[in-house]
Amino acid sequence: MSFIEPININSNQVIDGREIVNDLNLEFDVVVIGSGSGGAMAAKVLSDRGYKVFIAEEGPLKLTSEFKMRESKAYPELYQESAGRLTKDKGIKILQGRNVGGGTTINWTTSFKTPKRSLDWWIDRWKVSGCTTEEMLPHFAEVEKQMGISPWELPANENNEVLGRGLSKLGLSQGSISRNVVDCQNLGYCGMGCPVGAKQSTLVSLIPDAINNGATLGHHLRCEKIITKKGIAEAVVLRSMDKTCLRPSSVSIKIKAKKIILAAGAIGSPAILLRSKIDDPHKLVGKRTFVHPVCLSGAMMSEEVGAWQGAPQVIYSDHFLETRPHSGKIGFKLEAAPIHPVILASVIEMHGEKHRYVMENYPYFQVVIALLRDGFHPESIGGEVYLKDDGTPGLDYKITPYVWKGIRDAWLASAEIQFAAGAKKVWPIHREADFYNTWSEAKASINRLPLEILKAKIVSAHVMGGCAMSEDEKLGVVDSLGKHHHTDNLYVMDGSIFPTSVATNPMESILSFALKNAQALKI
Amino acid sequence: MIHRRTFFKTGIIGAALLGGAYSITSSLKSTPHPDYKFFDKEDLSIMGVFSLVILKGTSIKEEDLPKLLKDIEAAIMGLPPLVQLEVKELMLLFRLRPGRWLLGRNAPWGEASHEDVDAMLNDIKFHSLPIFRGAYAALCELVTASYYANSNSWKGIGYPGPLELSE
Repeated sequence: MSFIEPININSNQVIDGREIVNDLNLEFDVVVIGSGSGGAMAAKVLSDRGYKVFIAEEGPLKLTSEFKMRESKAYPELYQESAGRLTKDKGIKILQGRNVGGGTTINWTTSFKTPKRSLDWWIDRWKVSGCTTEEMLPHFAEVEKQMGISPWELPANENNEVLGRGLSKLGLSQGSISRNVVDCQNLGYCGMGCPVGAKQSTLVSLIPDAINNGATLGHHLRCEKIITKKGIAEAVVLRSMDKTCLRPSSVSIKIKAKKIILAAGAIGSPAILLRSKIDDPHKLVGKRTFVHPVCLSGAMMSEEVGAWQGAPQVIYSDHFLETRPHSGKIGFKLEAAPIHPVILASVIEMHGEKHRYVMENYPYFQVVIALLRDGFHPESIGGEVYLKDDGTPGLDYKITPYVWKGIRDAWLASAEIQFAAGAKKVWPIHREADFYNTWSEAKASINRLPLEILKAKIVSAHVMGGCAMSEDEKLGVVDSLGKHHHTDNLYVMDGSIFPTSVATNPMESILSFALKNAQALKI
Repeated sequence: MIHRRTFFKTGIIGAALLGGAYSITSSLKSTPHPDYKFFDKEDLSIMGVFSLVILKGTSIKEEDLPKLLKDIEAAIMGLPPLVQLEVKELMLLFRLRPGRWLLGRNAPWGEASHEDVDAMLNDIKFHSLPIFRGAYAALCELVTASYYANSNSWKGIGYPGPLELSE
């Protein structure tokens, strides 16, 4: 099978930051920082409208032909901090993309519209306008069309089937996950870059579209700061990066633009605003950053699961979201998680005998994950993006007792589901937990587990917030269209604009809001 | 004499040791081993014995260590500069006398028996101080991720590897 790469790396519209040896001054109509869901959509829409767009990406440009389904290659090349980014207290591991395509290159293709309850909450509590479900539906429809988002027709893999079986046995609601794929080969390696170009990441869809419209893509280019004058954003300063994308050179590229759009993700975008000392009278930038804290439950099944193969996520349950009001216990979404050796070994955090036991039984291992809905309750205020000594960003996220209680609930729910599905043993992924043989044993033990970081394994693949949108400048950094409240010509169009977590996998939400806001942008 | 357990419980010394390691790092004159960019000879001996204990029960053998240590170093070199510095600090915990004392050992860790390393790992795995639990996480992740990144380890866990795609 052959895949025709839609980006021509030899085009003069594709710039490799490593090859820039002298300072440059450029001028464009629009400069977009970041090439993931938000940035790529903004670049596509604005280049469609005839504007001269420059897309700056900190990470490398890796083409479909370079994706080899190897963890050893994918994590250092395509993820922030080699897929090892941690919160300040090391309590949460954060998986984020860093490449042309951003998170869309390495996510698991799971696509959901923004839940009505989240939209209504943002309108009611966060004074966001223009985003009722009815107002968003045309944008969702357009995004689904552009990105190939459609229901998954093939049977679920066994990893997902276990979740589905357990939910059915217990009478809990479940649904099928739509995916942004075309001619998917059901390989199971979405997290390492789709090797056949089936996943409609922005790398193979919106970015090539924008380039075809005349946009210029620059990779290995980190945005150092935005230059403002009298409350107006005028230019950005980029630094070319070394081959590892870890160290900036002294070469700077200054791009003057009529509009500057930040889409560097919910850690990157607040960090750029902080580094640039952009006016922030209400001290909101970087605050209320959410991660959908994820806890995990492993099950040992009698039959082989082979959780490395097949579409990673196709069955989910919102039972524990729908039955829990925002004012009550924290809700969570249940999904299965694909498991490859490196990520499994990293997650279980074990040595010696227990490590050997889990890894030897790897083919029989199944994992249910729970994504907690953070940000909707006064006791879930999220984290804060801060700058480290060298100006790079970090996230300080403390898990509150309210959120911890939800984590315990999620371990309980997951274990019950896994036993109902026929699990021989279940292990909530926590250093003090064992493999339990029965649901009653698991229940009693989980209720005694200490709720502490670096005992419970907590991860995140969704960072949101930190530049919240609101019509009220005391509540939000940007307005409902992504325009900065205090700096003209400056916009944010990525996951950082959400006032809370999305309460579902956020890719389609980020794309849809970027589509809506880029269409509305006046230049 | 204050027992080392008292220091563990107060948490002050442990935090101070690791927190102050930045300055120690800058003053530590450590030249990498000629074949490495990050590890020096003592780091290699420590990481070697730790790796064998962490991976006990897998197919790891002493002769596999040079390749594994190279892979661990490559993983470290792929981390941002400030995180690389944290890994240096982690190594100092095991190298410097105060750190060894906190972990109940006078002699270098590179010369420790597997039983002693196993006991220490169990100690920091469940430690009351998150900083020690974080050290456990870092060690396990560096070693196991590097081990399973290598396709030679896959047979032992029943992982067939990715499918070969036809052109």
